[in-house]
Amino acid sequence: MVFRNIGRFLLLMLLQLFVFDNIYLGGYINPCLYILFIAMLPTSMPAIPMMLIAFGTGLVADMSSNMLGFNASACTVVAFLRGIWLDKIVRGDNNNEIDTPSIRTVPYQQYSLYLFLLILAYNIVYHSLLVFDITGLFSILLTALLSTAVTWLLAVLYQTLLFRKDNSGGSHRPGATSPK
Amino acid sequence: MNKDNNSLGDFLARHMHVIVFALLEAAAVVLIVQNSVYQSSHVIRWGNAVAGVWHKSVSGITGYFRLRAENEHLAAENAMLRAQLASSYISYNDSVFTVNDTVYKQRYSYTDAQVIKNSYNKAKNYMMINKGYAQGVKMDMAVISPQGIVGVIVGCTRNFATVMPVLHTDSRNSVKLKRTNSTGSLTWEGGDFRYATVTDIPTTYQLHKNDTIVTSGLANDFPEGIAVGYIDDFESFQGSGFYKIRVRLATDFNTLNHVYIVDNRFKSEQDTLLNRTFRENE
Repeated sequence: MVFRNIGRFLLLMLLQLFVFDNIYLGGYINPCLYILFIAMLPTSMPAIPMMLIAFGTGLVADMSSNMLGFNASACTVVAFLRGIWLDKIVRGDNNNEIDTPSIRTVPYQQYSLYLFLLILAYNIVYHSLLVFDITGLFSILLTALLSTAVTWLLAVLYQTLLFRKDNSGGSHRPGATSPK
Repeated sequence: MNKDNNSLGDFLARHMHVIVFALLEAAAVVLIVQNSVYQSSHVIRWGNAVAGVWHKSVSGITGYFRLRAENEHLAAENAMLRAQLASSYISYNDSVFTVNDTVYKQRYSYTDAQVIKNSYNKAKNYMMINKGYAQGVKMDMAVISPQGIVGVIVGCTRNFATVMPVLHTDSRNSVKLKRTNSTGSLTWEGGDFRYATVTDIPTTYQLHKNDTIVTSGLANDFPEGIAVGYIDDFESFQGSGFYKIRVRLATDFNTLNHVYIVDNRFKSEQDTLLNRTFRENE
């Protein structure tokens, strides 16, 4: 369980640092797939450790770009909102049985919405901090929305590729498939 | 999640994650501000703007508390400034300049003064000037204007002096015809302040209209050659052998403002000599 998450952290972070951080679509749209790690932390994890982990994750991402604080702040927001939105979107299901929120454990549409909202929150916070000026509100929203869209597509693709495949038999990431 | 919130401890426990969230965000913002020049400059700018609004509103409120004291302060300042207004002051411009008349061995010094009170439409006119004995003004000193003769100091206090002008029925000054040096005396019979009368010039001298009358310098007070006026009309006075000359005064007493007080430095010496002469001959 812990190792699965660490493995996911390493995989996503390496992807982020070596691939996505070098991608700037249209000059300023930077996918941030690594927050999928936060989105997929176990539901059994209490809020405070989750936020601390998210903060640390953001700091790691920050260090690579030498801009401390931006990712950490956005990731902490994601971790804070995660519990609330997971509760609302996946209401009716027993969250304790989900443990790792993924496309396998949560219905596809709900999970897509969940991911979208988290990625949107991340991008709004991140780009607000980057522009740091209320007069840039329009450009903040535009950039945040475009980045969200790209990241969301990548996240859904990631989920579909890894977990559907996993579900259909291949066990490239076996641990992610089974609830506790 | 545990739903009972009976105690403060439970409340804090339930919302601890919010506090941690706020702390983490604060830490992130601190990191951003410390490490990014652009963002930190914005924070400083916002900080200044917020501080400015804060100070403005605080001073806007506390300003009301100070209004009374402020009003009193302003009133006191108004009074002080009003006291400094030019109209509140008598000018004591002690610019004294001297004339060394080497030809006549006479020495005059001039002190300028402002006319602060003046009359010209009575029979016995007086004017007051803003210099007194504190500024060196003494009795019997001559007073002239840039245009010509004015009068004689007849009263003197510490800071003021009264002048008996030419326009006084008791005034009498020694004058002469500039062209011929024939002397006469200047008097005033009342009436029009623009004209005075010169008598005692013998009819043996030919007169012309607009001949210039100046001070003779024979009396102690006036230096020689100060303009008195110009002959307007003249007649032989009742067959006495002297003219009665109507003189258009050089000085316009209506607009008179600035005068000079003439100090004859040798006046006391001259007076002493004159008195001794009188005594010895009586």
